[in-house]
Amino acid sequence: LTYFHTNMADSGENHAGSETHQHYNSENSSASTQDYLAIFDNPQKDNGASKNQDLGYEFFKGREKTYRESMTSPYGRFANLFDTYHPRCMMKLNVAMRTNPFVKLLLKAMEDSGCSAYKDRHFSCEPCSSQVAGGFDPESNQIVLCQNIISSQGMMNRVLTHELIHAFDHCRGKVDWYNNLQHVACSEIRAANLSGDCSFGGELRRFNLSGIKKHHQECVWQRAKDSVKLVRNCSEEEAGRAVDSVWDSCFHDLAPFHKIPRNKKDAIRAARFRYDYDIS
Amino acid sequence: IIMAAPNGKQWQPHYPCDYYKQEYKDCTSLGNRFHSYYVFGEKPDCSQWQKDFKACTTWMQTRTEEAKQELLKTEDRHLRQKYYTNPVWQHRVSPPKEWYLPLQNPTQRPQQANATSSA
Repeated sequence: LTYFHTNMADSGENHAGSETHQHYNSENSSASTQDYLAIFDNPQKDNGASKNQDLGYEFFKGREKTYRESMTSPYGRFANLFDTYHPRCMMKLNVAMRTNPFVKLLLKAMEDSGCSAYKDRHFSCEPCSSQVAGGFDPESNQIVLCQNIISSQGMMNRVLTHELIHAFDHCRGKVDWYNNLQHVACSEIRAANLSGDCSFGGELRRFNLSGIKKHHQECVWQRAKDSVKLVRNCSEEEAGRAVDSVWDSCFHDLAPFHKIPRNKKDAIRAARFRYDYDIS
Repeated sequence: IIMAAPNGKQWQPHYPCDYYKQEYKDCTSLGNRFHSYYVFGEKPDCSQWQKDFKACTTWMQTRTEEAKQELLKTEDRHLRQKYYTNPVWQHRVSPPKEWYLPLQNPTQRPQQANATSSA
């Protein structure tokens, strides 16, 4: 079993995060010291559409492992002495929260809806044993960032924006993450659309440009479908149908942006338009 | 969108006219044209921003009632977009109650770089 991040194609910053959900069968929880209710019963794989079709995913076999156990350090106990991943992740998180306009806009939007996000409570840098770069945990209301996957500031910015969009949706709407496939699909469509996951540069770097015209929408659709399939462990058709059913409403719901953002200036102007908030 | 009667103050536009101008400038830029092709498959239509800017400047210069009504219509459109709620899920009026509650499980807390930690 290899725990290391073997993927080569995606080195850019548009690595989509995934939602990691806690499942609800508490009777399946393992007999470990953790009495945490989370179950992780589907193999984790990258929910970004960039490369997951090709690699086999056997990172995770144990059906009984809890969420936190599945994300234990792949490097062993002694390596924790020399762990540089955690402080580096925290540093990137700090920089993103202080300077990146997308992140600041989303934080402001959440504050405006009543959920202020605190760094020590709502964000967590953890080592992950899977290929996803992050997730939003609706059970504990926390954004999880994979410290061993996130390799650059740009990637941190994208992952944070993606997960913050999920958090923002959780905050302003009664999103049923566990039971309603359409809600999940909607949030995934919005996150892929607005976080820069499907930006032209990113797709170019991932050699994923099958065409240019309207490729953004194809990319968003693909990523949303893959994310839904990953986190809800459903079939391709179900995920596809869910995404199609909410496409029209959700692709055009741009909150907190006023247009599909292309660069940082779009985010800065959106902050002024919507929240009277002057970033930089 | 209700226009509250101000307490003696003059009505002011919600956005300064420069906002519309900047949006128009960005809309007609080369980068945005490509982006619009990449996302929607067609050229962007920037005439709306120009009309909004005109409505705003007309009022700023002439202060007539018709100009004000035009500007109100413009702003109404923008504010509707701002407060648009998604029909997929039910809108919340207050944030989720677990948002501010402290973490239940100690392992949910941010991992410290600790030699003895195993999780």
